[in-house]
Amino acid sequence: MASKLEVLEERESDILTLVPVGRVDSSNAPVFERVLKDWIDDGETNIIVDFSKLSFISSSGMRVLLIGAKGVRAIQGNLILCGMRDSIREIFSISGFDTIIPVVKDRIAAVDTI
Amino acid sequence: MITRDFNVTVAARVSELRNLSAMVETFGEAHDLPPRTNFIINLALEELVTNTLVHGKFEHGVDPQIDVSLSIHDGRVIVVVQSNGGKFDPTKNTNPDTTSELDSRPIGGLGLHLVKSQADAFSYEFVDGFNRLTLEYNLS
Repeated sequence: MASKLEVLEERESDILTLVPVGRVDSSNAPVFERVLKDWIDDGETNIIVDFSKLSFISSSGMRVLLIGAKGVRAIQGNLILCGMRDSIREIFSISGFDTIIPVVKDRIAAVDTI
Repeated sequence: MITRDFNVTVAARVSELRNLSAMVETFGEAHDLPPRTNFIINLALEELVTNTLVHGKFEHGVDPQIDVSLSIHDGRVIVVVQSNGGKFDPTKNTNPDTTSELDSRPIGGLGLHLVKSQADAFSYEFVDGFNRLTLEYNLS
């Protein structure tokens, strides 16, 4: 059974911001995947994932973001990541994910990117 | 300096990852490790234990066992992960594609690549039916 994950959801006009809280690892990545997938299936085209309340993410969580980016791309939308601490930013760089999913400093920059 | 080593046997389920994470935090505080070192050790254990739980071929009738130990020697953090989930040498794994475009980027295969990229040394042995992975992280 998957562990819990709190994901805050905030809307400002046509932009949805998701804020996962704490850790995303293999025990709760399926929860994160379901939240993101439900919004994309509902046709949400502008999604920001704000990492500022996230202390840890593993490849299981990164995989969810890759799936999300592909899903949003299929409906001509945008998935933007922001607010990463240095350790998380580093693994997005090593994996090359930052070359295929936009990663910006904060929410203001994320809104500008959309 | 007093050496405070940590050893734990992990039950074969992902819910144990939280306990491992707590152990890394305690170890990090005991040795005043920098946040980045704490993070990459946490990540390595999460990836290696998850891989073992998902892909391990535990023999019928044999209790699945994953042992984790953390210690510090000569300015390096030494992380040892041992499991009886069938012989698997991750040093022979090829690195995943990290350069292709979004539409063609494969999903998966990334965890081990992150672990190998961030460790200063990474070695594998198969001893007495156990995979033994040793990772080293320089503290300077």
